[in-house]
Amino acid sequence: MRKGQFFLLGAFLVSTLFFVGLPRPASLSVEGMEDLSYLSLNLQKEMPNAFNLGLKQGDYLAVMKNFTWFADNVLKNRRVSFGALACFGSNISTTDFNVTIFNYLGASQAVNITIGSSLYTMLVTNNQSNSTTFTSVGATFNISFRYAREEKNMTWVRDKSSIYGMLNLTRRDSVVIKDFEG
Amino acid sequence: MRGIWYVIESVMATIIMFGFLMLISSVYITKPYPADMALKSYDMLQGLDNQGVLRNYTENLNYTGIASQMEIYTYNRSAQICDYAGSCVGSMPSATDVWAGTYIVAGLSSYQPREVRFYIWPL
Repeated sequence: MRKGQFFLLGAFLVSTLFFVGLPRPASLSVEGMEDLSYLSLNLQKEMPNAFNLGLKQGDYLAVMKNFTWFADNVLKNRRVSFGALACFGSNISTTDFNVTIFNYLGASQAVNITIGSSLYTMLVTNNQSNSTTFTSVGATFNISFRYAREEKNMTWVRDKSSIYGMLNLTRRDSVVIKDFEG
Repeated sequence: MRGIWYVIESVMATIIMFGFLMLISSVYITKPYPADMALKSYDMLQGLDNQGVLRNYTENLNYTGIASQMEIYTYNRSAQICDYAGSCVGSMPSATDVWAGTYIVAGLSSYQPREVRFYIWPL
C-alpha cells in the first residue's frame, strides 16, 4: 500500500470519528397553547348563556353548577385545568336584593361585596355556594366584588337578574383569565 | 510531515462536504411534518357559532349537518356531539394524522349541555 493511501485512509477514519461524535439534537415537541384562547372565548360566551337558560328553567344555581362541572370534564380531556367564580344577583322583593356566589376556584374564597355603602364579606368554600341579602337597594345601584387580587365594579338593575364571573384555564405554565357578564 | 497536513486538509474538506450534504438533506429529503390543523378546527367551530348555525345542529344532534357546513380543501372532516354523560353521536375517524377542535354549548331553547368535536384529517 502506498503512503498516500495511508493518509487517505487516516483522513477517512478521523472524519468518521468526527461525525459519529456529533451530538444529535433531541427532537422536542411541545404541545401548543393557542387553543386556550379559543376555549376561553367559548366559555366566556357560554357561562352567561347557561345562566339565562337556568333562569328560564327556574333554577339558575343548579344549572350553573352543572355547567361548570360539565366544562371542567370536557377541558380535562384537553389537559386543561378549569376554575371559575360566578356571582349572581336577583331581587327577592321590591327593595331587597339577593347575591349568591358559586366558587370553583379550587380553594375557599373570601369575597367582599359592596352595594352603595354596605359592605359584606362572604366566605365561599370550594365547589359550594353562599348567599346574602342586601336590603333597601335602589332601582339602579353600583356593586363591586373584590376577591383574591381581582376587583370589579358594575352598575346593576335591581329588577333584573345579573351575573358576573371570572374563569381561568391553565395548562402547564400558560394561564388564560377571562371575565364574563350578563 | 507534509503528509500529516494533507490528512488534516482532507479531514476538513470531508467535514465541510458532509456537513453541507446533511444540511440540504434535512430540507429536501426529510418528510415535512404536516401542518397543525387543530386551531383551524377550533376556528371553524367558532365561526359556525358566530353565524348562528352551530347551536341548532347541536340541539338536534345533527352531527352530519355540522360537518357539511364546513369544507376544507384536501382534508376530510367529521363531527361528534357528546352529552353530559359522555355518550356521543357521530364518528371519530381512524386515520394517522387527525386534528380535533372542541366547542362547548350550554343549549339553545333549553339547558342541554353538549360538547361538539370537529375532526380534520388529510385526504
